[in-house]
Amino acid sequence: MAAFGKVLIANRGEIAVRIAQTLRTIGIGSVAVYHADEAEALHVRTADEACEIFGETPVAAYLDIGGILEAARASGVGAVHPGYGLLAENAEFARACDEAGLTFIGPEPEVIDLMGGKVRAREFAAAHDVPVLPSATGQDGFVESAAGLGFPLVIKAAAGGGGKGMHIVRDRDGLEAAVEAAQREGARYFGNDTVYAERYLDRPRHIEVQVLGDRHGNVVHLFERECSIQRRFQKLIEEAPAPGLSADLRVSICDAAVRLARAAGYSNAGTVEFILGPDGDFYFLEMNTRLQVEHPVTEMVTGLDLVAEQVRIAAGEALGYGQDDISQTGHAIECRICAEDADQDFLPATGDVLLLRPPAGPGIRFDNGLRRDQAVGTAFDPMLAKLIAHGADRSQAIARAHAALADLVLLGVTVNSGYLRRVLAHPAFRAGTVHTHFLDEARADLARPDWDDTLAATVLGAAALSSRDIRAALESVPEPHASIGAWRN
Amino acid sequence: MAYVFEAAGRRHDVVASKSADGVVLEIDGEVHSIDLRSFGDGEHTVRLNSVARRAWIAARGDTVFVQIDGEVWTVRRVDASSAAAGEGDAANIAKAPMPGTVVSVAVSPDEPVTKGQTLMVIESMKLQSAVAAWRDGAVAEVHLNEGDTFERDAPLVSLAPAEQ
Amino acid sequence: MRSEAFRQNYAAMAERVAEFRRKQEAARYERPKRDLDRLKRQDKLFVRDRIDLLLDPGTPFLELSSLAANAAYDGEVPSAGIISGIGIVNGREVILHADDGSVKGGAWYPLSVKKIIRTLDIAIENRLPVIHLCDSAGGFLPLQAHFFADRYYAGRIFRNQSILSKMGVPQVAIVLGHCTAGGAYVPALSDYAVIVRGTGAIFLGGPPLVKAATGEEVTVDELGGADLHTQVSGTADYPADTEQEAIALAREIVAQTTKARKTEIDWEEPEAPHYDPDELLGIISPDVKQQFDMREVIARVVDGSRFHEYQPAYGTTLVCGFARIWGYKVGILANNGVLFNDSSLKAGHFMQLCDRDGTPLVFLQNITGYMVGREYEARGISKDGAKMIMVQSGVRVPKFTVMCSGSFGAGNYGMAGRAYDPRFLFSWPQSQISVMGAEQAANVLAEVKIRQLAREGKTLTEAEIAEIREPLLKEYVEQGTAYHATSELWDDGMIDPRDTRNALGIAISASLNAPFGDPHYGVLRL
Repeated sequence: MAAFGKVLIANRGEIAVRIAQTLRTIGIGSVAVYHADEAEALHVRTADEACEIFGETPVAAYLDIGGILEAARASGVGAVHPGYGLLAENAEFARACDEAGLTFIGPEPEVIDLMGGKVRAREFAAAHDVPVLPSATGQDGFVESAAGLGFPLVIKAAAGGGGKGMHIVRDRDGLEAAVEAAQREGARYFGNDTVYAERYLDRPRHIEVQVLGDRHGNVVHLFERECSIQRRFQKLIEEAPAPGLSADLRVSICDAAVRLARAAGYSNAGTVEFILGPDGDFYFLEMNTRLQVEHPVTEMVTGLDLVAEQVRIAAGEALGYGQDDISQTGHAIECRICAEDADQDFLPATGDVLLLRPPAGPGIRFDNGLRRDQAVGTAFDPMLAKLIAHGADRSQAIARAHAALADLVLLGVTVNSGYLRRVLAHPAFRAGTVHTHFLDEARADLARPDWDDTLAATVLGAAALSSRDIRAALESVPEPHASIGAWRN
Repeated sequence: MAYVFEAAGRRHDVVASKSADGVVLEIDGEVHSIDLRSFGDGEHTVRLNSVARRAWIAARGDTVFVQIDGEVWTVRRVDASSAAAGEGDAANIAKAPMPGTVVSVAVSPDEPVTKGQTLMVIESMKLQSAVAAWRDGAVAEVHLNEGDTFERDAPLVSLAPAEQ
Repeated sequence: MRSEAFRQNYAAMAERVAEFRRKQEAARYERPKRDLDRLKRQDKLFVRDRIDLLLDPGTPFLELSSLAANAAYDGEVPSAGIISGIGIVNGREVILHADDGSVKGGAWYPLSVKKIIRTLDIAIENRLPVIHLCDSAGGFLPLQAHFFADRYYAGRIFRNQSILSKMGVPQVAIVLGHCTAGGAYVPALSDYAVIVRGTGAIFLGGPPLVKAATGEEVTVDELGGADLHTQVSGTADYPADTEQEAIALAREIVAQTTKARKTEIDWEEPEAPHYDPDELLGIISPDVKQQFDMREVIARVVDGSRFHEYQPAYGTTLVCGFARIWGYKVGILANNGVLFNDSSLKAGHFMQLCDRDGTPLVFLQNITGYMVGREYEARGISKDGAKMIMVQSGVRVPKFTVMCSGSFGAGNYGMAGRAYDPRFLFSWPQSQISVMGAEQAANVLAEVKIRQLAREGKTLTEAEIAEIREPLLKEYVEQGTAYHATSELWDDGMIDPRDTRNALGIAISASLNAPFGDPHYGVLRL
């Protein structure tokens, strides 16, 4: 299926590496782009070719549509894969690719536009029999109509995502402040201060459905993913399938997702996100018109390579299989390895990767864009890598992930691997009874192990004795003084 | 040799010495016999008294990262002579927890503030956080202006020393 | 071994050692409350805490002359107001001179000056880097006639510092208090000087003296504070905000100095003595008249209690032989009785052997002197004693002397007494030292008096004789005690006999910092 001679990967980090790896396996050349700061990054080394892009900051370079198209032209690619984040859901970029004669590996720009506006997307979903949470929009009298929904409710920036610009309001008093904050953040991060209000479910689960559509009107789902383990409204652990979902509920959610995608004329890979209430009621949240961070869990249970499917679809091929041809095997869990201090309110961390040892073993996959001595700064998202474990069943997947997290060595920047292990070991997680506020509620249980005397002595001893100067100081004490020890006359 | 280490948010006095039987560490006054063996590439075993455990260790500057049983502990060496001196400052100065930018400044010098009041809003890695007054007092100095960028540990806002 | 005599000796010696420890403890820590309060007020650390901060933890510190001045100045100047000793700083062997600000504000008394000079002499002889912890109000003026002008008075301190510098032996001064008058030269003559902001000051004349001399009114800080000396005058090199910081800096400075190569001598992995050193207390007696076998002492000092005796059948009142102390091979000379012609010749021969082979010498003194009498004079006891003294004075190898019991007459000389520059000399608490035994001396002195009175035609009753004799005896006994000797710095400190092995180990190690040179002697009267 050498539809494109070469594909430019308009992204960086683990996803760029991951895309390049698939391109290699399907016989398509890959072109990476990089800012000068990342000239030695793993994604640059993994791709067949690399083009430097420019910008005042590294992020600006990756967001510079003109620069990326210039790189595409210079390297002679036929298509562009946007990965996730950055320009992945930028309709303007998709259009610009089209105009430049490049295939954008993703849905049509119109669909990106449709799903990119939260309000519009909700209306579209509601119109197609996909349940949505009661909500309020508009500028005039917004606060009053929002209050009319009842509390708790959530105020969101219309153009927002990833938890930014989201504020939960539990009573009338906090409403104005939350609206103002959401507007401010919307303007700041997304250049748009439009906000909307929505009913807020306590202890909901986040369930999403992976869909694939081709350009011939075929749409299938690849089952659901459970993404309820979140902090700061951002996912930390995802799994497939969602634990404890009844067969009926699973079917209704997946069908709703397919219904929405089909109605939107969706092609390529996409994800329809829902929240699931404790009573089994579920509501449309949003649709992500791109490859999702957590797509590997779906790949592990379905055996499909989603990037390969994306390329095939973008090349105009038909899916070639129907819903009934797709099945799930076993269970997969993904843990996001982030540069953050989970024990200090997930404060992002910076540093250098001083030591890196990827985990390995049966069912273990480690998607990363890391290399030793790499600087982890504030320029990009704190997610550094993803550890995915597949097992015959959920408990085996958990056990494998738990072991692999201890096996992973990533020193030099504070990462959350220890915290993730504690989550995986938590009885509620093991029982599958989780919801999006679980990490908050279980905070005390998820604290680091007690810093007791034995642990302190072991850790401090290791730190002290591995320090060159302390070693040298110890060795420098001459004889007989060293042997005489702390003697006084 | 006496050292001060910071780990798990606590400060520890560590005295290392050699005895006929190997290295002895006195940690906060408690004596332990300890041995560290390196297998290269950061892999070690650390033996405390009679129990040996696998450890991964990497260091940069005064910071040592130690991974044991899947938990990573960040141990910072504190200059023993400045350890005592620094404490006085800490009570009066809010320092940046990491590099970032000043989003807004909410107070000006000499302004009285109450505990919990927002002094400054900073943004680090796309997350805004408020620097709140950690005690009642008066603002002594606002070290940065809106839009300024800063490095980790940069002073942000100082309060006038508390009266005894 | 556990005979009745052993048990009695042990009990008596344990009491003598306990007494020594009590006095030492008091000299180290007991201070008038007002002095401790003043330290606290000045925000200064106690000198012993400073030393603890300076030394590498877990390493030994051999304190020298802890009971200096114990019998002088009504006991008010413990340790002569100066702490000195050998310890490890950042892995380097160094000698410390620390003024004790809690004793008379760190003022220098005559014995303080003597102790500092001895400390620096040790530094010169053994090429030991010196760390001065300066905190002195200056010389104690009422006694200036006893410490100012003579050859071995205060000027010698600065002379010694200059000599050390010339020899390339580093000196670091930490100015933790005032360095007034002559004291100002201590940091100024050091290679490196650290000064504490606020409490440290260096000036030839303090503010009151300046006011009196020129009418100028000036504060301590303006006159000689850390900023003045590190920014303007260049008298000190490093400012520090706290004593802790200053001491940490000094530690770093020591680490920067070039490590000198030590003299290599025969060394093997050390081994503890097979016989418990604690048994020393049962072997030696508080009564100097009680003879004991020095081989029993040697067995409780040397590695593995192994002693290779040289000439075991000849000149048997002097035990000579080879052993190891903390791995270092040494030649030991120990008295098992009075020195005869043969024992003197044996000593000379043995010392020459050791000198040729570069083996340091250890003298264990328990000596009443050289044998007297017509027979011995005729055999040339003076001539043979002279040979022993000539060789002993001339050896190039370092000598170490321990006053184990009696040290009388020329025996003190032949066995490397203080005048013979042993690198270190230690005394056991019950040891005695004088030109002859106390009773013998008192009798001689009383006899002189009685004869003088007899010439005046007076006859004395027994009671009257006792009245003359007893005070003489008392004074003589007092001046012959180890406490008097150590008070006057005739030694480098009193030690618990059980500490002898460690003290010698550290002393031998220190001595190896200086080269031995080549063997050569004066002319022996053969």
